[in-house]
Amino acid sequence: MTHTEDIGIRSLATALPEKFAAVEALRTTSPAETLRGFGFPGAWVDGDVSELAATAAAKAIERAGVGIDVLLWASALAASHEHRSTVPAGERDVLSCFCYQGSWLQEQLGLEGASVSGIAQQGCAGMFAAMRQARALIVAEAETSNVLCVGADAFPPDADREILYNVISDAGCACVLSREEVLYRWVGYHQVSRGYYWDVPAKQSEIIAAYFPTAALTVRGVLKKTGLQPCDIDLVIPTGVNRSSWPILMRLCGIPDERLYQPAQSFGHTIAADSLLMLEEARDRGALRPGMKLLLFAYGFGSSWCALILETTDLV
Amino acid sequence: MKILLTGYTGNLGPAIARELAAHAVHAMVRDAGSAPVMAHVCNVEGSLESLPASLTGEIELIIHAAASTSFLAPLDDLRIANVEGTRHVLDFARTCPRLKKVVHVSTACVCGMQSGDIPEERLRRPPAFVNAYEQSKWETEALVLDAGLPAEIVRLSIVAGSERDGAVRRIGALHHTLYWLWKGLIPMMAGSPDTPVDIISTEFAAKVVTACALAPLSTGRIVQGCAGRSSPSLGELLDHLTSLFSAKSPAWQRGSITPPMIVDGETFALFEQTVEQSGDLLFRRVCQDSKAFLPGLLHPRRYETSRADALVGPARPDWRNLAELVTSHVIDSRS
Repeated sequence: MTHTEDIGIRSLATALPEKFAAVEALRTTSPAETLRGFGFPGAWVDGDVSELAATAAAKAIERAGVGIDVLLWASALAASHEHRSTVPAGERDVLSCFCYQGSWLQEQLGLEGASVSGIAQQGCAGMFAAMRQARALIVAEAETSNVLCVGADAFPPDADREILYNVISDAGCACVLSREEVLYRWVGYHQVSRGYYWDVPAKQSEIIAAYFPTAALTVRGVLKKTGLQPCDIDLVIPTGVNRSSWPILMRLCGIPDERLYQPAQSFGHTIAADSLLMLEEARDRGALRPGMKLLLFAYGFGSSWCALILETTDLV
Repeated sequence: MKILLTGYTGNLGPAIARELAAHAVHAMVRDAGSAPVMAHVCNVEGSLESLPASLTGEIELIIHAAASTSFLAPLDDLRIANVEGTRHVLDFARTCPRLKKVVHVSTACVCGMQSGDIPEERLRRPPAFVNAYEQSKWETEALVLDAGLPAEIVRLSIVAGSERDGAVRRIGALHHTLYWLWKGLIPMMAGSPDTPVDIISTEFAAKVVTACALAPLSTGRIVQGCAGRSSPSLGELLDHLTSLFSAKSPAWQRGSITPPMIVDGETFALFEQTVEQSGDLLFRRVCQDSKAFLPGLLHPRRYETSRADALVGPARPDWRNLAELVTSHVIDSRS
């Protein structure tokens, strides 16, 4: 019998494309200087969704060292859920719309024992939703012990790389949630979804305005659920969004400024992979110790605000 | 009584004039065509720089309500409009042999960034002002009090609108802020939930000004036409606005729009800085409108009102009703 409090992230991995382009070389709406000021020296570009996902997933599985029972594919962009058919472009019909990345990845990685599903419609918070579903499956199903969550997104070549003052990078990430031997124990999760903001182009300004108060509401929600106080959070793992937003969010949540993890690298905003990239870097740089409470937060168009609290274990 | 009234076409002017229906009012206006028409009011075209010499022999009371309320205008411009404009009025007053009193309409914001209880007295220069408007009005008060004239001052807090229908003649910082709030475009407000927000109706403001004007002279007297202890706190006001918005909009009712957070000055400054950095035009506008009104909330204070209470009684219009009427007016007129 597994105690639900033992469930957590057993392994994680990320993948970035080889090419990093300076912000001056990217198509953006705002001036390059403004975007540099927001913490975006450039972006990782020319990524291939399938490759990024496969690379990250293979590493995560290898690190986990367990068989995978469920594979959850989570991407923000609709196109990222579709794998290109082997049928030549000119001969493709509607059937090519049913070529799913999750299925391709299962085949690619030989995960024959896994069942496959996808998570969508949650923008940059898709990976959070995938992890939430993964944990719920492990809690609900005795036969499910290890769930692989994979997320990858890449923008088309020459696409506008700026979204609401954020510069978007291509990236892939994966993590395995398990019943045991976890690096990060799952402490609590809270999500606030507001369908009111579904029309992103029409409601850009309202979304920007709603971001902070709803983010604070969401963080308060997860603290309440877990019985924690803001001061109990040892480290906030940011995403790659506009860096000027984090000190504001820290203040709104009542968490001391110095508990915001300061990444050494700039990854841009990689949609789904941000939090895992930062978490991986924090661990590699020795910023994590056993028993630390970590707060992860993500916002995704839709709109959904997600806050996750993890606790590092001795294995970290 | 023969009264000279400035600021007749402003927010407060018509309401003051209505209170003076038993008197002969000469209203200084730049353009008589755009001035309200009242039987007892004679519109006199001109400006503060050229007050009509022909009236000096008749005027017994001057109510100086004209002012520039462009909170964000440069100090030099505001000094010309407010300080120098008042200097012209005072110079004119000196030439009126029958003059009994000059009443200068000021603002409760002359206390600048001072917090705590604000007395109905001459205020020392505060350590700092929230904006140049406040400074120009403080300097104007000093000018009036040192003029050696039979002068009194009425300080008014935020005149929100009519307590009958919420109407306002000129949309100001408060009204813009209300509109942005309604649209869900203000993520945070500077202050604390307990900060009093002193709002009054146009009618109440006019009543205090005219009661002061018609009362026996007490040179140098300062009356604060404010809600004082009847003011809502910022938290109460936001809660009330949220319930008003909820009655008008499913998005508010369902909680799809999260009300703004009340934050400290540093957090608000960080947000403003981000907006400035982004160059986002709409948010710059929102911040600019908020900037004129919200920073005052960082300096919580309660205005003493015993003199105003003595003149018009201690009762104040219900702020909830006033907020509802003004909010409806703002939403309807901008939608």
